Amino acid sequence: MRPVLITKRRHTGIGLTALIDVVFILLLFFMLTSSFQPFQALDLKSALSASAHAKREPVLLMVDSEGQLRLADNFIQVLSDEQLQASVHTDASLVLLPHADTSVQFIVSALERLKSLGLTATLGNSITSEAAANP
Amino acid sequence: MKNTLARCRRKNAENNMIPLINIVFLLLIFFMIAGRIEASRPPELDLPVSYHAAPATAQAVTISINAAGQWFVQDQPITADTLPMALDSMALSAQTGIDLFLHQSLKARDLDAMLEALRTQGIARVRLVTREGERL
Repeated sequence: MRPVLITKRRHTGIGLTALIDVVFILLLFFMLTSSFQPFQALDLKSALSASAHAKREPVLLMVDSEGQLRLADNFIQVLSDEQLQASVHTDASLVLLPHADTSVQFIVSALERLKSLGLTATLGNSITSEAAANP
Repeated sequence: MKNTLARCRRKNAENNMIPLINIVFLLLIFFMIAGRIEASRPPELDLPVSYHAAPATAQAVTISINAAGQWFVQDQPITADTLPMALDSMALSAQTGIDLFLHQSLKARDLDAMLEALRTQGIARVRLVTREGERL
């Protein structure tokens, strides 16, 4: 009886159905779990993470509700990249003060712009229009 | 005669399956290589776009604020009052990094209370997670 069974199995070969079952399940798993959207992250420097006392007065930069950067003590002027680099010393700490109506997107853009100029900024509290008018 | 016909049919059916298996294998390899398996992110959030920030690796704690200004810690809704309690229960240290997922249209004033609460908790490492924009 037994030898007959063995010869029968030899004739059937490997079934493709089982293989494709497993491959379909793997395919479904990878399709459902994988993500294609790349994420990035910006460090929000907190006032707590300061390690040394600053030698200079911190430079206060405002981000207005249109995403423009201005010096807080001269809030009329919109700063270009050259003006930013000229007005901020590399050893002075930089504090970014967003206007209360500034969207998160503009804050991200401002932080990225400063980063690309080699400056790192601490994000401060938001300021209101009244505070901006009377610094 | 009948037996031969049946065997022939079965062989035909298996031969027809081979292109299907080829395609399925290709799809499998594509999803294995091109996709990344990672913890699920808050799906309904339209994150701010950045171009030059560092690629994000997932941190231990995620906090998100949706477009309506509601706060979530690890997808559990919280308020400014219950945030300290929620963070306490996770036994965080000062070195714990926090991922902040914010809807891109939120205003700076919505962010203030959250950052203030995190500062009060002594958490210094906060990262703002953004979506990588398409480079021109």
